[in-house]
Amino acid sequence: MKKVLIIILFLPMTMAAQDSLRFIGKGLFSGKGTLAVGKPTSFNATNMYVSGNLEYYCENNVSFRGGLYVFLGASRPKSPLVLAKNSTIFFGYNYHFKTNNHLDPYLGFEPGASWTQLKAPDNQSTAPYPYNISKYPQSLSPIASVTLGINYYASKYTHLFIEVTYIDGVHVSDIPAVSLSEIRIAFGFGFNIWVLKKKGSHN
Amino acid sequence: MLKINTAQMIKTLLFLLLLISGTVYCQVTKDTLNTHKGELSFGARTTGSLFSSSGNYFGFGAGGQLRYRVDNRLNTEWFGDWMTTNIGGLGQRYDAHIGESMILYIGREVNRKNTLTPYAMGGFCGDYTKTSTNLYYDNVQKSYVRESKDRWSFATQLGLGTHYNITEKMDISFSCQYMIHFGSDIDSQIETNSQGEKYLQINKVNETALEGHLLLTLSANFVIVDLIRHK
Repeated sequence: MKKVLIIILFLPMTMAAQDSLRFIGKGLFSGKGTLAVGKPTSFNATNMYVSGNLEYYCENNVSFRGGLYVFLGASRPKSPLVLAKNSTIFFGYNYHFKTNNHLDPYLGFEPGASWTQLKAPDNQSTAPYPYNISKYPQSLSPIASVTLGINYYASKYTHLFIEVTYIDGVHVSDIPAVSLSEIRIAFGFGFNIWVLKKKGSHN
Repeated sequence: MLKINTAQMIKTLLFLLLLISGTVYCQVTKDTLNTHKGELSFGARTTGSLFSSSGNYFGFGAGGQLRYRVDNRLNTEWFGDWMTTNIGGLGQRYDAHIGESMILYIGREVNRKNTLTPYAMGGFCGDYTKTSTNLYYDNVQKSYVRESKDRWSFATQLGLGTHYNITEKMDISFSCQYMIHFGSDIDSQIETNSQGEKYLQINKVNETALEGHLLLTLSANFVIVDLIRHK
């Protein structure tokens, strides 16, 4: 049943795309802004972010992207491993798989850095060692990420997207290090414009 | 007997000369068109470090790089990295590298789409290293303390790598280099205090010493401009 629903949802996109002009290609400049959810793989919590990025298609199937995840908080504040800060900046390239419609699947590689800090317990004196002695310093932690996503460019100025990002890194401080490996999911809509004139203009 | 017509011979020779010069000219043009000389590319990279004097712990980093293609078979890579290494859960090491590597292509084909382009590489870099302990109980001060030591050094590196060209202008590169640092020596070892807790002890010797580690680098690169435009 779920498969049928997915096919029904995606079919109109594909059919509509076949008769119309494609917007995906060199010269496309796009930006996204949305909320994102992160699930750490090494401890039980849910992280929440406001995320945004800017992307320029330097070739028909290659784009350069830079972005930001601003950390809003975590849903399990009682765990000693919950992060108080985990905002991320990243940049890198996406490879876009060729299609004949408005769907734009992509695979990206984006290193970056996270500004990280563990959340101190509410009552630090009763926390177990070593969480009772830590000063919970902040740290700039290098990260690497791989993104798998899909855009749907059906309009000249807007698009829809969904993407899954795997992030890996480590937060070091004055107590044992904590893995920053996390799976982040973001979806929503973005804006796009053409910054290069192209034959068969989109105007 | 075959009679040689001098005028005809000169005409034929001139025609051949014209053809030869045309052929030679075409070859030069083709070579010039096919060269990657002058290409400037920008890349994002992630780096792993192994086997340093802080122990066999895996360091993890991120950075960027610019490549300028001096010749079709010679490239230069200007890079910057920031890495952290978790030393057994007892401390950490930070490394910053800024440097340059020469890339010499060893295969016949270079940067063809969907093919590997192997290369040898080597160069030098400037390096900042800081090693810090986690909080540990100090037997002398009778309290929990934290210790850090740092140093600046120069390093030289040598290794092998390969590009995989996804498109004519974009490649994914993987390289493995051995880097030797020349500078004051910082090493660390795990000790046990009077309370039976393990902690990291850092030693810094101000005399010049050698320290080597293995660097694994994965990068994605794109040619942003051709500074010698080939027509």
